Amino acid sequence: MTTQIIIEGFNISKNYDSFKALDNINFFVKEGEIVGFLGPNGAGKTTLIKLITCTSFKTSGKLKVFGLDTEKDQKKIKALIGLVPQDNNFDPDFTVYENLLVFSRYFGIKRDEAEKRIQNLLNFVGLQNKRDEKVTDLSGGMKRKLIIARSLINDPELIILDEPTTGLDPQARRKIWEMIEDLKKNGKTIILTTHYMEEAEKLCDRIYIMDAGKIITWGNPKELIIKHIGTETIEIYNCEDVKLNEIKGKKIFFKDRIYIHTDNKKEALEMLTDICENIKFTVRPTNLEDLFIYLTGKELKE
Amino acid sequence: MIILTGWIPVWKRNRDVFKKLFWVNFFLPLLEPIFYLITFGFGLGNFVRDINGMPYKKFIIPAIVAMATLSSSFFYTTYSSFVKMIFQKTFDAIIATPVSIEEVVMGEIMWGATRGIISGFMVLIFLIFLGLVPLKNLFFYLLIISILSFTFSSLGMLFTSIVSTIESFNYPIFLYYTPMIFFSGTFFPITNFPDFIVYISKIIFPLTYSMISLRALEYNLNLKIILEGIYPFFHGIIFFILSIKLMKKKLIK
Repeated sequence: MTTQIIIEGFNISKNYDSFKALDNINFFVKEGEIVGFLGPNGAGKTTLIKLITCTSFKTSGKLKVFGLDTEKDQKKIKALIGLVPQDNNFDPDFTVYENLLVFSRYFGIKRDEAEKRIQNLLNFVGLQNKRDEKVTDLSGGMKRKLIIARSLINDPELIILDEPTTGLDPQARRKIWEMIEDLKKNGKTIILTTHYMEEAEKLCDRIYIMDAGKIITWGNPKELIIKHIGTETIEIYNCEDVKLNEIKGKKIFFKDRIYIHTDNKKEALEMLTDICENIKFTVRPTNLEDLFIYLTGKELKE
Repeated sequence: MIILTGWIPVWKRNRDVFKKLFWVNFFLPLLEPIFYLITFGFGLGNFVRDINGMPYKKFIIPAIVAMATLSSSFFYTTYSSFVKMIFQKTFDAIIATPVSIEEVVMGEIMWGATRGIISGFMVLIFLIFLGLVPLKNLFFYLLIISILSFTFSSLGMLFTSIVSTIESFNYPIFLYYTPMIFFSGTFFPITNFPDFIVYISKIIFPLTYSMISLRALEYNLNLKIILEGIYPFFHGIIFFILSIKLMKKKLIK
């Protein structure tokens, strides 16, 4: 079975005046996968989404979405995409139902068909009881669910979620994750941006790690960790007298901590307790945040 | 790349909001022309002599109709559109669908024009009912109302494409809109001023043509009146094209 490539980008750059928002990036998205773009604010994630959704245009490079040109076939491309933007840009004057109905018209969906879809979507996101409430009365989590429902009104092939869970509490976040996984099971292709490494690790088949308009590395989250730094991390809190050079593994000095990344936890721990008595540390699996710090010397979240 | 029907869903969206907020947004502002009529027509009008043989309360009728029409369309595509664009990010949401930015702007202008027509029409019916506008003039009044609505809806959008903050609307409003309201031959005849002032006023304020045209209608309808009445439409077309171009430049970076 051959999977189709849905998006291909070659050497894409995007400049705003002299600022390089995207600097010569290459990427692709295959049918049915969840691809994450991970990076701090200002990394270029949202700019990239704008290029894919034809709401902004590249300075140079080649970008094909569904094999179509983003500058010539905007309407065709946009008809196949569902976008969950960073801001909950609803119409505040309308109810939940009206918001979805008004949006369905932009896709030229007939009223009868729209009614059916809205009912199904409200069931899918669990807002069937909020149908006639004003959107301004919804909680943060419900607003996000409604935006997801709205992005599905045109039954899109590709769903793009720009920071879908930023600012949500853990419970609401988990609910959104379940929805994203359901969408994948239904065969949808999904792109998401996030600065939560946990989110990317849990959901994504592949991730692109971005910083300052560049793609630093890409691949399967677990494979990236193994490839670059090792699966176990020892995080050391007090460390003045630790003779670290003797310990095998990758050592990162970041803020007031030291991180040792290794594939051989046992050996590293033995040496660590040998050379230092009063040491305070925790041992945990390496995550994408560690990888990001290792690759850029910066934190993902500000 | 304007598809001729793509703006309709945007227009419908605005119509639906309008239906919800009919009372506050629409009916209450319609009281204003009645205040004008009472103040200038029935109040001040008793102290003013006839102008070119026309009683003052008749003289200001075109101004009262125009005022309702203009404010309804112009303030829609300025403040309402700006709030939607910057604060509610409604335009961002729409342009991520197959609707293009040109169609969004068109839908806004067309709705602003529709609003102006509805306001103007309601005031007109009221004035016909009071016997201040003869019924036979209904259609020509409607033509002028439509042209003014389109022209000033487009002009409002042009200003919206230029200003960077909501406060800076004060520039076009106090330097253009307000002077126009007073100096376009609305409440006093500018035809008594030297010719060059009339000439300048006609160039800067297309409303001047509408006033001259509607007043001349009191005597008889002829080609010259029709042409003068239609003239502001050409301003409107220029504002319309310019505003679409500038809005695209502003929103698609």
